[in-house]
Amino acid sequence: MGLDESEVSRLLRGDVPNDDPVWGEVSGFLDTVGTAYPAVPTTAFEGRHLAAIAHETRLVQSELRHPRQGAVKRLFTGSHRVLAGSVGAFLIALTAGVGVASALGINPLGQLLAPPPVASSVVPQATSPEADTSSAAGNNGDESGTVSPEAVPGSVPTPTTLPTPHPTATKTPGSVGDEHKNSRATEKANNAATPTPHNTKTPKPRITKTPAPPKATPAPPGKGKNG
Amino acid sequence: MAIGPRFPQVLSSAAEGADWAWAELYRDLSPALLRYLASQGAVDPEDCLGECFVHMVRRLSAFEGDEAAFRAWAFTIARSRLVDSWRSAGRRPVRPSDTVAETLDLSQHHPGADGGLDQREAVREVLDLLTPDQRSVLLLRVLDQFSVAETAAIIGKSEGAVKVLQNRALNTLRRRLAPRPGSGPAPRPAAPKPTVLH
Repeated sequence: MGLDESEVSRLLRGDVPNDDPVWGEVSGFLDTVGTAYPAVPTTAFEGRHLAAIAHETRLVQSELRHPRQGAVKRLFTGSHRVLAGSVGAFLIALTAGVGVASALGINPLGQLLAPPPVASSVVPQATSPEADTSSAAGNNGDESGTVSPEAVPGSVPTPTTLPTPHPTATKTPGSVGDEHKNSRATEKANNAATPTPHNTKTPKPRITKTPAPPKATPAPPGKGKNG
Repeated sequence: MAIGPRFPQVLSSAAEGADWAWAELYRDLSPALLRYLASQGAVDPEDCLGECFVHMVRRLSAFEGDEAAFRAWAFTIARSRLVDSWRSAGRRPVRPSDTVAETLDLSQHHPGADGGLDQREAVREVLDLLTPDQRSVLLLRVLDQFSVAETAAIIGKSEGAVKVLQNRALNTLRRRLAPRPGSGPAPRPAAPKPTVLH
C-alpha cells in the first residue's frame, strides 16, 4: 500500500491523531517509542570521553603544525603499498605461469635455463643409415666426440642428446629397408640432427629453439645397417 | 538541545582544538548518539560513542555545513562505528541492546521502573517485527526527526530506498497493531503511567 510522503511526515511527526481509522494505532505506538529509547545522560562517562577527545585534538594539531612529517609518512606509506602490491602481483603471476606450464608438461625453467641441445652430438649416429644414401661414403668424422658407430656396430644408436619435444618424421630416400628398421630408433636422433641437404623429405621441426646445425657428417658406409 | 546561533563559533573553535568547544559539542550530541547506538544494538554503546567523537576530531577538517548538517554527519560516523561493532562481534543484532534500560535504572530518572520496563519491552517487541534497516530508518526519523535525505546519508542508502524502508516499516506496524475483527484489542504497548519526575 503506497503512502503519501506528506502523510508519512505527519505520522512521523506525531501529527496524526490516535483515533485515525487507518493510522491511529501506528501514531499511538510511535508516541511511545520515545519512552523506550529516551535520550540518555552521559555524565557517567563524559570525563573519560572528553579526555580522549582532548588527546586526539593534540595529535591533530601537532600533525597540522608539522605537515611535512605527516605528508612524507603518508607518501611513503602509499608508495610502499603500491610497490609491495606490484611486486606481489608480479610474483603471483609468475608463479601461476610456471604452474600452468608445468601442468601442460612444459618445463619452463628448463627452456629458459638449459642450453639448446647440440645436434652435432647425435649427427653421426642419427644420420648413419640415411647418410649412406644421401652423401658419399667417406669421412666418418665423429665430430661430436660421442659414441661412434664403430663402438656400436649394427646396433641402434642411442642418442645422447636431450630429447626434443617435437617428433619429426624423417624419411630419406635410399636404403629403405634399413631405414624402416632404424627409423624409429633414429627418429629422435634425427630430430636433433639437421636433415641432410639431400633429404628433401625431412620436415622442418615445428618447435625448435636450436639453430640449424651444419651439414651432418655422413656416416661411414655400411654402418648403421643391421645385420 | 541545539547550540543555535553560536554553532559557527563553536565549530571553528573546535577545529582549532579548543577543549571547551568539543565539550559543548559532546554534551549536545552524545545523548542522542548514545540512544541511537543502543537502539541499533551496538555491542558496547558507550565505547562506540567515545570512538565516534575521536573520529569526529580526526575528520572535522573535512566537514562543512551548518548545525543540522553537523548533526547528520555525527550520526553518519556513529553508523560507521556501529557497523564496525557488529563486525567485531561477528553478527548483526536483531534486537537492540539493553544498555539504555540499565542506564535508565541507574540514573533514577524513572521511579516507576517496573512500569517503564514493561512499556519498553512491549515497544521493543513490536520493533523486533521490523528488519534492522527498517528499524533504523524509523528511529532516525521518529526520534531524531531526520529528513529523508539526512537519513539516507546516515545509513548509506538512496532516498528512494529510505522511503521504501519507512513505508514497509509503517505498513508492518499497521498490520500488527490494527485490531482484528472479532477479536480483542490489538497488542499495543501500555499507556505510560503518570510518574513524578525528580
